This record gives sequence, C-alpha cells and structure tokens, in this order.
Amino acid sequence: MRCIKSNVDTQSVEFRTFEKHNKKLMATLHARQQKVRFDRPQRDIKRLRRQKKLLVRERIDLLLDPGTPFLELSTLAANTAYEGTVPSAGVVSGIGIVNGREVLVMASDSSIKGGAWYPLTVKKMVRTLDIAIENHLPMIHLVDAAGAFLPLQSGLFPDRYMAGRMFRNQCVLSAMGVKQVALVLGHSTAGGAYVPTLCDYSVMVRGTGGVFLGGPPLVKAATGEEVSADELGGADVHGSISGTADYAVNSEQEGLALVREIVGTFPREIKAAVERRESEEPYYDPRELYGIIPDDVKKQFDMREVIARIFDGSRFHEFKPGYGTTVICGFAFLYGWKVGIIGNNGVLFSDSAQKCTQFMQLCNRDRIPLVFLQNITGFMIGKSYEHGGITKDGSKMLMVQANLDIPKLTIMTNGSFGAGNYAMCGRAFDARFLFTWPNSQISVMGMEQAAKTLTQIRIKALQRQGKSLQDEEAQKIHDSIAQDYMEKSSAYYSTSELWDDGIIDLADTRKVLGISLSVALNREFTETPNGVLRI
Amino acid sequence: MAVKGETAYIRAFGRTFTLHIVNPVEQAAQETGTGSDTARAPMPGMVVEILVSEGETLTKGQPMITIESMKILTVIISPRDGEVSMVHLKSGDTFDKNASLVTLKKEEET
Repeated sequence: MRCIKSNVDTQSVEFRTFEKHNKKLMATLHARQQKVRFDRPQRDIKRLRRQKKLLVRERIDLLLDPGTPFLELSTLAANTAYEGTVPSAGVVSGIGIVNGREVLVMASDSSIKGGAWYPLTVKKMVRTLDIAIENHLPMIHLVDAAGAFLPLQSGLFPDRYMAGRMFRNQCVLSAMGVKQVALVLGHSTAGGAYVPTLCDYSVMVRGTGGVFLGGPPLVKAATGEEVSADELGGADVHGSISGTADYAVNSEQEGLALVREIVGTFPREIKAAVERRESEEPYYDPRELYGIIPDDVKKQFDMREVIARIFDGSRFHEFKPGYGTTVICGFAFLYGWKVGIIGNNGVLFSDSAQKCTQFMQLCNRDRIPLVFLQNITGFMIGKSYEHGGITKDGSKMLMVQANLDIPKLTIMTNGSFGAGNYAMCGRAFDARFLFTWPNSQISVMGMEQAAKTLTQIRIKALQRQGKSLQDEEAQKIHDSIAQDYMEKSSAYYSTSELWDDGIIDLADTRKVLGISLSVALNREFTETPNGVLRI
Repeated sequence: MAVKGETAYIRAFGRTFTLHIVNPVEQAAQETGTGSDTARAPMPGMVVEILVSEGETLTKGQPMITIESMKILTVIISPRDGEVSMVHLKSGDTFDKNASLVTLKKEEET
C-alpha cells in the first residue's frame, strides 16, 4: 500500500498560523479537562477523607493495570449545563485494562453533590451501558451515589432513555453474557440499590457501603422503625444474611483488589476476525495536524493530509480516486487492523454519494470496519442538482450506512451541518464511538445562514406589531442570535449534551480510534440485509 | 531490516543497503497529467478573492483564486508552472459549475 505524499509545507506562514491557533484550542481543552477532573472544594475532599473514602480518580487508578491506557469518555459532559456545577455530569466512565481484560468502568463521583444523578448524569450512564451492550464490554460499577437529584427528578426518571433504562440495560447485558461487577462504596438507595444487585458479582465495603430500597430516615418516617444504616443494609447484612451482595470487605483498597481478582477469572475477549497485519506508526507526525486544520471552519483542507497523520505508515489505497472527488474513500490499517475510510473533501454531490454507497457495500461484504472523518457542509443544492437526483442519491447513502453491522467510528474534524451529518454517520446512526475535535461546529445549518434567517423572521414579527427598526437595532438582534447559535453549535455544547463520546486532542486521534476499534471487535458482526435503494 | 516511508534499510552480509521503493502506479500518475490550461469551477459559487493577475508567472500549486460555495472557502491552485493568460472573473462574481476561472498560456508558448 502506498504512502500518502503530503503537500503540506510545515514552514509556511499559513501552517504556523493554524498551528498557533490550534495549539491554543488544545491548551483550553486540557485546562478544562484538568479542572473537571481535579478541581474540587477543599471541604468536599475533607468530608470524603473523614469518611475514609478515596476520590474517584484514586479508585480508578487502583483498579486499572498500572501503566495501561484509560480512554475516558465524555469528560466534559454537562460542562455548559447546571451553571457548570456538575463536572463530568458527576460520573466518570471510560475504557481501561483490568488484569489484562478490556473493561468499561463507570464510577460515581461522590465529591459532587454526593454523586447525585442529574438528567445528564443519567444520559451518560445510559450511554455507557449502551457502549457495553454494543461492544460486549464487561462492566465495573463503582457505586457511591446519593440517588436522583430531586429538584430535577422529572427530567431523569420515567422516559424511555432515562433512569429505568440503566437497569433494563443491565438485565440485557446479563442475558448477553457480558459480565458485570459492582463495588459498593457508599449508600446505594432506592432505584440505585438495583445497580449492584443486578450485577453478576457485588462487593460491599464494611462501614461505608449500604444497599437499601428505603434508607433509615425513610424507614423511620414510614413505619417508625429506628435502625442504623449498617443494620439495615450494610456489607455484612447483605453478605451473610440477605445474599443481596456476594462479598464483604474491610476497605476500599481491599475491595478494588478483590474486583481485580474477580475480573481475572473472566475469559479473555475474542476479537472478531478482520484482516490484520503488523502495526506501523504513521510516517507523518500526528502533531502536524495542528498546522493543517484551518483557523476558520469555512476554510477547506485536504482530508488525505489528515489520513496521513492517523493511520499506519501513512499508507492509503484510495478507491475510485477520479470519481466523486469531493469525498475520499479508501483502505488503510489502524494498529494493524484493516479499515475503510470515508472522509469529506467538500460538498456531497450525487456522484460522491454514490461512491460512498458503493464503498460501504464493499466494506460490509468484506468485513472491513469503517472510519468516518466528517467535515461536511451538506449535500449540494440547486435546480440542476435536484433534477440530477441529489436527494435520491443521498437517501441511498443513508439507507446503506444505517443498516451496516460492521463497526463504524466517527470523528468530527471540523464542520458537521445538515443532512451531511446523517449521511456521514452522525450520532443518530449508531457509530460505536463518536469523538469531536475542539474546533468543530455542528448544527442543522451554518451559523451565518441561520442568524440571517432568524433575524429576518424576528424583524418581520416586530414590523407586524407596528414597530420600525433602526439598522443598529437589527444588527443587535442579529448579533445576539448569532452568539447564541455559535455557542450551541460549539464542540463544548455538543459534548455537554452527550452528542459525542468526548472531545479529543487532534494528536490523540490515532490512539483513541485504536482503543475504540479494539473494543468494537469484541462483538461479532454479520452482513445485514439492506433496505430498498431508490435507483 | 528497517522501513521508513518508501525507503528500506537492509543490513546483510556485513553491509547496509538502502533501497528506494518505486511504485509504478504512482510513477505513472506523476508522468501524466501535467495539468490543463484552464482551471475550472468544481461547483457553482462566488469569487471571494483573485490572487493573481494576467501576465504573472506561477509555479505549480500556487494559489490563484479563492471561491466560496456551500459555506466552504476553496483555494484554486495552479495546475502547473506557467504564465497567466486570462483571469475570467472578478471578485464578487458568481459562476456555474465548470466555469473557466483562470487560463494559463499554452505550454509551448511559455
């Protein structure tokens, strides 16, 4: 397979300008991640220390095999919600290695409101369990949560993808044979009591761990019975009397060691058979991506330059290179695994959509996982394109893409607008993982177009009420709409709402895709029947 | 043996050999297609900026004109070395797909 020949001049003024811009974006990203991971009020840390509890990051450190990677997911979930008071949505989730096995960790952060569940906490937990289902990943629950955050209970309790879905997902996982281990490190009350109880293995820490449908205050209020938490549902009660838990331990450290031992009894994952060869680092330095991705979402760049800085040896076999040139399709290797790549190099036309459709069918038949590199402003519009069947050709791309069972991974590299988002495997199309670069923008239409349209509507409404507007006022309306639109189309808003699995540093893309693909191969996949294509 | 990009370093018989891998597909691609005389619009759009003037000598890959279409700014680059014979549009003009943007003097003339 040929090595891509880069046309990037790393000494050029443009490269330097973009590099400076993007490095600043990365510094902001890392600072924000650092803050949500470690920045907690002293009194909360002191309270946990008094209770002889470890902080959530310390627990995860003790759980995972030393020196192995941990791919944290949705670190910046809820970063623009609840005035920023619920870092990471109050729960840490990620993929790591325990005793040589790939596992998915989900750990409540009791330094934030006692680990209470906010609507976005529940959304993140449901997504985490979905990841376990989609990729057959064993789960480790580190349970230390106060339960639902009552003032917002209506936003997290009864709907299909709210709290109940977590327990439903746990039951589905069990039937699939995907193992789950819980370590109870705090009080797990009401619905939360089912989290450890539905696991295959439940370990409780003496003194701090508690599992009950109704805690002591509720019992007193309801029946008048006075009982301590330990007598009601402590580690020894459930370990020796009720059988609700399987092991009682004396400390968090002992519990984490026991969880490691339990995971060590699991069979090792069997990877789906896809073509494999020896891994090779990219020939071009991934850090050069900083100088390639422009400082303005409207500026065009060649996706081949991105491919050259992610995949093995910068090698790429391009499929149909002379046809539908605004999209790039082709094969490469990622840590030795063969993958198909679809990357945007402009607007989608009929021919580019058809090329993608053909290429996806090829990958499906030959069991080749797909990586989508999104930078898409949409499908081409206009009379001659409608006459040429652009909508029909786009529908083919959606039809085939949606029905694929081969693993799909998506990276939002720059822009993601309109139907292009769907066709290129946006969130609604079940990519196994979807990650966003911090420079990305995502919205149903571009900011300028949307702001102009909305401003016109607002001005007309005011005119109907008999108000006339000065240009200056119209500009003010435009600016405030644009500002709001800009914020809501940013990567940070996107990740806050769990529209992705996290924002990543450009230079980490290869590693993130590598871990994602490795776990995606834990589930066998099949060739699926396809929908009817409108030819 | 160590491979870096398209170069292989082989140590054998007490010596080091350096081999450059020549790919016939790639070589063929480089030999043909020196570029046509006229750069055409890849899609309908509007001219944002003209970066060259008639009579100017360009090198291959030099930016000639910036266009905007479907929210994307695209820089049209020179397909080969040559002298600009004609710039067909001016800043702010709109154009259809395949419209001529910039024409270079025929190669034998330069």
